[in-house]
Amino acid sequence: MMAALDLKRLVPGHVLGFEAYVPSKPDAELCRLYQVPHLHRLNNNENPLGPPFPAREVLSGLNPQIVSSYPSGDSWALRGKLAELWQVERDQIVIGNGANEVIGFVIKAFCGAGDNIVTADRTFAVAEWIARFSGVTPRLIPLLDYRFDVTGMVTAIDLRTKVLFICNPNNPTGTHLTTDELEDLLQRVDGRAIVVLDEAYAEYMEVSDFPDSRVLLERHPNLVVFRTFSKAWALAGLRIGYLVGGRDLVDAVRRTAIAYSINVIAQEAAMAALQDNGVHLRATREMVHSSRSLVSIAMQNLNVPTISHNGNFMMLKLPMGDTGAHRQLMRRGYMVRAMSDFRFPGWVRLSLSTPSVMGGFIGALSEILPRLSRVSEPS
Amino acid sequence: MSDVLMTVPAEEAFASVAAQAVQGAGEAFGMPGPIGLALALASEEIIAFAARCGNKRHPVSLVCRDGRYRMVVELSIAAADFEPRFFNLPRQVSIDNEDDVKELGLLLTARAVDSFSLSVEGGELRMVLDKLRPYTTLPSGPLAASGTGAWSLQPVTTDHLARLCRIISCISGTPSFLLQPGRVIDMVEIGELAGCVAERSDGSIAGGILWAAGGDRVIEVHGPYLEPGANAAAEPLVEACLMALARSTTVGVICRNAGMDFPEHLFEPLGIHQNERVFYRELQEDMGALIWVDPGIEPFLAETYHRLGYARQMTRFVDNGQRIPSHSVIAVETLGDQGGAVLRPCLPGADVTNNVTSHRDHLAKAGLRWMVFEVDLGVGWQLSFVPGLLGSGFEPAYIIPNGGRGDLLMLRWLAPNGQ
Ligand SMILES: Cc1ncc(COP(=O)(O)O)c(C=O)c1O
Repeated sequence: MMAALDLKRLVPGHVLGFEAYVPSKPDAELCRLYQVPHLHRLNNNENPLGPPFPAREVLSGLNPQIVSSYPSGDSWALRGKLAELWQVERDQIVIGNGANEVIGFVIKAFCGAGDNIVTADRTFAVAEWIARFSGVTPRLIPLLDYRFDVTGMVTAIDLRTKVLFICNPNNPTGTHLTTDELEDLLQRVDGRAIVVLDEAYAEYMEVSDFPDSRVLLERHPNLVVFRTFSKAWALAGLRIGYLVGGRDLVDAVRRTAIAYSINVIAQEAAMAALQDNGVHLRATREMVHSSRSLVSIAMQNLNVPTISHNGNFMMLKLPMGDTGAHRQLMRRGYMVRAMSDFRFPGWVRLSLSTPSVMGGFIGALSEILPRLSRVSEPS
Repeated sequence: MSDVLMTVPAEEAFASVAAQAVQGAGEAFGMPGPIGLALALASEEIIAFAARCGNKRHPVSLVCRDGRYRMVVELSIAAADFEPRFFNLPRQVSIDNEDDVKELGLLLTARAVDSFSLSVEGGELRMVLDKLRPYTTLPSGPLAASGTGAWSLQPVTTDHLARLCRIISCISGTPSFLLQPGRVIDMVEIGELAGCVAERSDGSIAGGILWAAGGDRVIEVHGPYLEPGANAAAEPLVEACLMALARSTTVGVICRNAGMDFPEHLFEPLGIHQNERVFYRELQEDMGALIWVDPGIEPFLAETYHRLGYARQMTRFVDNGQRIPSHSVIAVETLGDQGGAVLRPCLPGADVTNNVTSHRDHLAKAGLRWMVFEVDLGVGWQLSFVPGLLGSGFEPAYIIPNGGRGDLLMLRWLAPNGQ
């Protein structure tokens, strides 16, 4: 027999000590385990309306023959289209297999072992995870009033700080930094580190003080903006996102980007989605509006505190453990995100879906609220 | 690290060599004399025992460790040349037979130290002995609030601990080690305990919470413990603990000593441990799992999983008639200060029922009042112990979700009254 793998020697300590993320099982498997005929996924902030019409058309008319050739290795046409929209050059854009992949590109491009990144403690976790398993220290600045703490983040910068990650609006709180606040942050960073603005939910923003990142990009060569086709554009299953930044910055990032990682269907569908004349995003926002007010009123009636600002999600504070509530809701066919892992114990994050699905969710939640609080006696 | 490592042949003549080294290590660690001595005698006994039952040429490795509040000795022996049944703590002998008294060495050894664990893993027999350093225990008494005003949550420092232990000493049913401020300070300083306090602006504290900080999958939480009138701090303290453990290797926290300020609604009641209620809070979403069951525990599991909402597909473990060793092995961890033991299956065998009964009888005769047998429902062969356990008076008490490869089923045995 061959000798056993000496993982302690082979795997670096920062990888060995990292707990792998376990994605949820496929729907069919979960339905079987939880004995429900259908599962409403309200845990990933997807758009239940589906892709914009032009993207649907492209997807339904696909010729299977196209998959026998490699796609464009750097999404050439899509970058051209995005460059037009952003009024930048094609080379200021890097496409990734989801925005998650471009987070990795940026960390790899700027951080070596012993460097650090600065972000919040209660925000989208992927930058923190990639940093950890790359031997880079994540400095986690507590949110203040559920918002990014600009002063705290700037103060945390030292000579080994390479990147600041800001999620705007923040997942999961939906709070945002205004144009003035972001300008202030960029001034105070003063080019000492790269500033990432993760705008995964930008399409949902309707407030006037939300920063126009296109304008900011012109003034700050250390700024880079992330966008995704997974959320409002409803192409999550195709895995496609991108970054836009200053020429020099993007030139560094491109060195660590994986060529050919975006498949041909994703490139075609994303191109088509951008042809949408506004109908899709308008319908999406309307749905989110109606569902947000429906859920907000219901939560008030149920005495459930919420954090609800921007984006297609809301946070609900339950009078019980979030993981237990997650299970009880799964048993009723609703999958929310238990937020203990986001350092929000007791909270669940709910993706805003159609009003009829929200109605069903409210019913399921009302059932478990008294139910779980009753189970405090020993068996 | 100031570990002391040594290897001696498993021969009677070398047992005393090891004993002297263990005692010397105790002195070098600054442990009180009786600690090193007790561990030295126990180690000598184990090596002599190994010499009697196994192939003498096998070396025994010893590691002496300075655990600050305790001294630990780990002994490991390659298992290959031993009959697995020798590793069962009571062995298959009668406790009433004078001739067999010699063979009770390991059991007596186990009772001479504060905790003893024996397990077989990866072809190695491992025994871990530990002996606690004595500390002064706080007397209990009434407690008045030490301050008023707003508090904020702070990570616990050694400065807070004497006061926190004083608060704890006024609460009944708390684990005895928490009444020893010296020990608690030592445990925090070496990173075995972590915690959080509600600190007022004048430096006084309204309460605190402590938890085991070893990075285990399921960790024990103690508290929150609060001054009179500080109940509002209970929930924030629990949340601070959960936040500190988020995104770590820990999947859940368990509380086996809920005091009066324990916010039960934030936890799920699992069942009863020895006599105390067990509460659990999971840190990660559970996505359902397949588990092995035995018909004898199926109704209990079905009720438990239904109550807690866990999705589990149960598959009955059946003996397919494959060849199994004739002798099973059970790992034992005796908890001297709690008067009980935790047992775990190590190897399956044809004699499981007798082996379980024999462990129960011998441990009970050695004075232990309760035993908990832990079965990992994610490991099929472990279910072969269940019929024997149920037949020996063990009853399913609670599950620890995701506590092992799968969920852990805890089966409990309590000494009949008066024993
Ligand atoms: C803030 C934020 N950034 C990035 C992503 C990842 O997006 P993608 O699907 O493009 O990898 C998400 C998805 O949840 C997100 O919430």
